[in-house]
Amino acid sequence: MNRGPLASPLLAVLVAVLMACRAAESDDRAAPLLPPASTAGLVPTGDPAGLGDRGASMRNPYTDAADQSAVREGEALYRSMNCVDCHGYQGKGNMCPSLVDGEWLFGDTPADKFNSVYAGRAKGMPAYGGMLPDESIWKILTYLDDLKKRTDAVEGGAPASEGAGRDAGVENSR
Amino acid sequence: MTSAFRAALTLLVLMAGPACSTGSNSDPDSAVAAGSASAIVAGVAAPPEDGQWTTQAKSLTGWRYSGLADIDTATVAGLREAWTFSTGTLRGHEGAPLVVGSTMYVVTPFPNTAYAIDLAAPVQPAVKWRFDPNPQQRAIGRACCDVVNRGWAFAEGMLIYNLLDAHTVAVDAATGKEVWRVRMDDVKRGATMTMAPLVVRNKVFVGNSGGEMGVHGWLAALDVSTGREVWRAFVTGPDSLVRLDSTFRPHYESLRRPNLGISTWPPDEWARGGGASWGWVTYDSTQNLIFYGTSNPSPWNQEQRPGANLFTAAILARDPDTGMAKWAYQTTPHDEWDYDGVNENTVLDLALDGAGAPRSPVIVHFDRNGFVYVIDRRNGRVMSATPFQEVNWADSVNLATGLPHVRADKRTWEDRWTRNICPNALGAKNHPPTAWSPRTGLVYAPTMNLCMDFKARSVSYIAGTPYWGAETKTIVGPGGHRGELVAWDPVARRKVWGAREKFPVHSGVLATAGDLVFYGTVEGDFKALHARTGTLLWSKRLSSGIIGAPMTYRAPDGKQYVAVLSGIGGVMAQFKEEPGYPPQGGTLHVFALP
Repeated sequence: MNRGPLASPLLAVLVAVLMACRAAESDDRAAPLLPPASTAGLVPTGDPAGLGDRGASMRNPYTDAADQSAVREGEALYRSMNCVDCHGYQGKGNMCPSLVDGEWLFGDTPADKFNSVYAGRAKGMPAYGGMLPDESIWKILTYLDDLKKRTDAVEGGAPASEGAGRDAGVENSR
Repeated sequence: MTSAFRAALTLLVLMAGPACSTGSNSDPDSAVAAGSASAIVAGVAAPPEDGQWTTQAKSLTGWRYSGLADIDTATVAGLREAWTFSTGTLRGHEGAPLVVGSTMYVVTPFPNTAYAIDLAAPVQPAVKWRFDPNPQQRAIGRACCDVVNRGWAFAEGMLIYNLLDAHTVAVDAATGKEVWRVRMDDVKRGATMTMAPLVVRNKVFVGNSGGEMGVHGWLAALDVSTGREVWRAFVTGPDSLVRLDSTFRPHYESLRRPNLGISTWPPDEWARGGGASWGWVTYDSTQNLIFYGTSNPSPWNQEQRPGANLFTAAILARDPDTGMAKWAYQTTPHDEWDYDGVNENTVLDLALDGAGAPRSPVIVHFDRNGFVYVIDRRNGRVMSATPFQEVNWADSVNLATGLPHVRADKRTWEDRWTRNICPNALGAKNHPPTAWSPRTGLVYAPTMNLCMDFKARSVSYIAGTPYWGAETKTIVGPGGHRGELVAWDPVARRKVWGAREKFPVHSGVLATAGDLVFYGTVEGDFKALHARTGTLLWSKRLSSGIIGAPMTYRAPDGKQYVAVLSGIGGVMAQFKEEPGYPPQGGTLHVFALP
């Protein structure tokens, strides 16, 4: 949309109208002549607002390298909450982005990563905040840190080979 | 006919096209072979060649065959790129451009932008309008296999297509303005829409995607003019939802019991059991039936859903007007390998008992499970089922019962690897469609030569997340090539020739009266082969890989053109680490003789 200088005051009104149309839409599958879809207000925004004073200063309480139990619990949660099907059994991405390439699309601070899981992200990451206690989210992130370290250790040396005739690194073909 | 006269005549026909209410929703296949000298095997005739390409497969019967022959085995070596067009998007580009009258229509992957290109513009083709539907972003993370769109339809002066966020939209073909938009499913629960709609008379048929998300699969008919839902048939659940009544008469007794959409499932699992209709719909005017397939059941872990899981991984025939099912056939009962049944059902009349024998009304279906089925399209009786690539999950299909003989050592289990299952989860052929040439009597199939190791895992249903529950590893099949274009004789049930490729062949195929077969490779090579011998006659490296479907048309200048989209992605992305895998792209390439 090309927003002229006068458009901003009108935008809030427009968004409200579009949202009203979207609400009506869910009650009427065949409603014709809907305006172009607006996503405003209907998807997790990724804004840390709502986390209260925990905000940007949050720290992962499970960073003791000597304690592997958080890693193990995090891995179990990564599987049981279906993260694994989307982000891959090796975390290298599948339907969804890689979690071991060092690239954090929505910021790499502990608060950013926590919030991606807690509140979700606009391009399809669901909000797990209503399903998981904070400790579980932190343990999943601890597992991902560990997975990243192990991936780097393997790929820093010889590339992983699964033997002749296999497509190394190919997983979850659909 | 002089070329000048022919050009003028063509122009006249093309100009008349858009004004004509018959467009793609007319029935070009109703004539049965009368006066068709070229139909040496098929009784369902090719429609009279009008130089257009108004529906994804050109004909409602799914042939992807053009009668244009200016470009033929002798002239194709001179084929040159005439013009290109960037779509402005980089994800997997599936589907074929449409040409109606003097306008071409192209739709991109998410964000599903549509373009109308004026083929009669001075100097060179130019964008007439652009339409941005702005689908919801959250759909991106809910699509299993890239944010693709497999094609669009044209009817009553409108371009009709599905948006990734599970809406169907109709756009005025003259102005690019939205005419109607209908919400068809709930993207928050993991449903998306990627399939190509088909129009028969005043109805457009659309289905959902999401066999990896635990969706409830359905196919629906919308009124073309208004988008109003006329009927919706689910793939699982009570007969009322599946739209089955006493007129449902499948050939196999095992499919005739009531409420199989419930009784072949554990309690309530049917409601999130997948069976999405994300593939192709074809139409037979002689029986007034539409045919389409349904996806794998959700989840992939078979231990969580004992039973046949009807009507997933199956083919259904329905009355297009009422939606009531006339027959069904389940290609992979209780699927354990992700063998969706969504591939196209090509409508053919074949002389199965030899030339001169009466022709049988059939559909030909290359399934993901590696068998090519020839099925009586009146009742769903399997007349033959033959492996067309490496198959080891089943030894054979029993034609008396319709059931495959499954190998016990290739069944899949929770927390346990089953090794070397062929084909792999992508199938021996995925959704990229075949072409049929009535001149050669051959079906040209884009196939894959892949096997897999498979381990299931217990999975819980969490709405909006994958309901998947399996880990697989891909293995290259015997011979070391991952793909092959196969020329298949459906009567003799044998491969006549094959062209092997390093990567899976994952593009659609085009057959022409010039005895050419066009297809593209993952590397980006657009190829023309001799339809009878498989000899490579022409090849051109495009800017990205090809997973779209080639088409051909006669432009207002009277010349024959061939067009294809390049833009790698879709399920081929799993090969991105392989040498030779191309960069992303999104370009329409159009070719002509000098």
